[in-house]
Amino acid sequence: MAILAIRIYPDPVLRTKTRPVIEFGPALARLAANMIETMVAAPGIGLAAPQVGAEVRMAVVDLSVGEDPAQLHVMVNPEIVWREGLETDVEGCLSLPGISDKVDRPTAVRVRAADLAGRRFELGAEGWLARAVCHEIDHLDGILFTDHLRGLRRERVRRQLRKLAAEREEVHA
Amino acid sequence: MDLKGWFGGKGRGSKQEYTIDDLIVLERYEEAAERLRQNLKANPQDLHSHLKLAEVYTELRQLDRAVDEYAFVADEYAQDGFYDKGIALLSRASKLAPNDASLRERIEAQQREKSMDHVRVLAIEGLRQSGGQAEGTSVLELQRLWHNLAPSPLVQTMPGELLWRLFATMQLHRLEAGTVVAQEGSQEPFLLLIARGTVETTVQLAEGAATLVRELGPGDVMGEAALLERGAWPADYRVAEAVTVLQLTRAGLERCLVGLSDPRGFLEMLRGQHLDREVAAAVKTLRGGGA
Repeated sequence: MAILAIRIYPDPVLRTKTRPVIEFGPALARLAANMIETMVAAPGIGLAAPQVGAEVRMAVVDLSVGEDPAQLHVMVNPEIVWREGLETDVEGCLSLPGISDKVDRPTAVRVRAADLAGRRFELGAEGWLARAVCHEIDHLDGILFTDHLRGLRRERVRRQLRKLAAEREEVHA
Repeated sequence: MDLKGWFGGKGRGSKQEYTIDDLIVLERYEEAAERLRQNLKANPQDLHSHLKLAEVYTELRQLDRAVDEYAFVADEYAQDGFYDKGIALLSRASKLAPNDASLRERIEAQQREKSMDHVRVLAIEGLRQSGGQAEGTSVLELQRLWHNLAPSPLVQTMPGELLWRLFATMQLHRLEAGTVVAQEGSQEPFLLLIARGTVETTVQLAEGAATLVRELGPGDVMGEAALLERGAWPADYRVAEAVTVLQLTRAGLERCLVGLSDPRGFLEMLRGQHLDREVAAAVKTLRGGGA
């Protein structure tokens, strides 16, 4: 297993609309294992494939950050099939270090996905798990949590993103 | 596909494209402007794109274009009754073009409309009762009709409660271009208030050709002579550009007058524009009868 480099804004891969997985096998399992290790090392509670540069519809979520295997969810080709309610809470993102803001998300969702063997399953999620799942599925469509902000919050986050982009440019210069 | 295939997928059918917001963040304003213009070609009424384009033009120091975008959105907001938002945008535009007197006038106009908010609420309720919603007219559409009617002399002079009473007894109709509204000399007793579109008044002169007397538009009242004075329509009235009108019939008028404390004053307000009289005078002049 390996810790992968997390792609940071404005890396264009974060805007990728990912392709569905059609082949389930060892390569996919290896990518998932690496993503889990990367997420736990970061540390974070979720990671989507584009955040490590992979343009594929897979995300991992673990609210326990590696503490409780029962809380680890690997979702291949996930899609939200039902949602309910709306609540606002603060989110951050491993690809947007130092940036956090309040985002509206459903209070509960039901997700249809496949596991690493291609078996279909449904996951019911509430509260923070629902928020994390929505956040990661957004990534698979090239959407960042900052895209949900409006008005003054958007203005503020734009400044933060500009600063982040400038810092990245300096790093790569 | 192996692991490598999922990485660096440019050219593999995936789509990596910065959003317009990213381009703004990255200060790639020309590209952002181009993308926004493309969006607006596909959806000219997308106010978010207009607003972003205004921001981008501001960054590019293309201030005239920024002002145009802000003003466009401000007008749209005002038409939907969001005067505060409209005024805020016009104020922003005014800062970009401090010498543009027309912007100040527009701000004042929107402030006036805002001050009539109470009247607006009553009038829209009246419009709703006039059958607007029954004909599939949304609340937003009624707001827009109100926006057209608000500057008219009738609305400016009539108190909100009376407007509500009047509109509630009128019927909302849509008439296609070419529809004959009334013919010269007829005494059909109804009055129309134009909310959208145009109506032409014409007369047949001795030479046989129909001559345009006057064009009537949003806010104009016609037919007051026939309805209120039992007179005749002074010319031929035909729809030039599809209209939305409010029609007041004799029965509606009678309902409207029931219980009014000052019916005479109400009728005076209703015919305050005297457009039929003006059209009649113009017809007389055209036919050589002097002014």
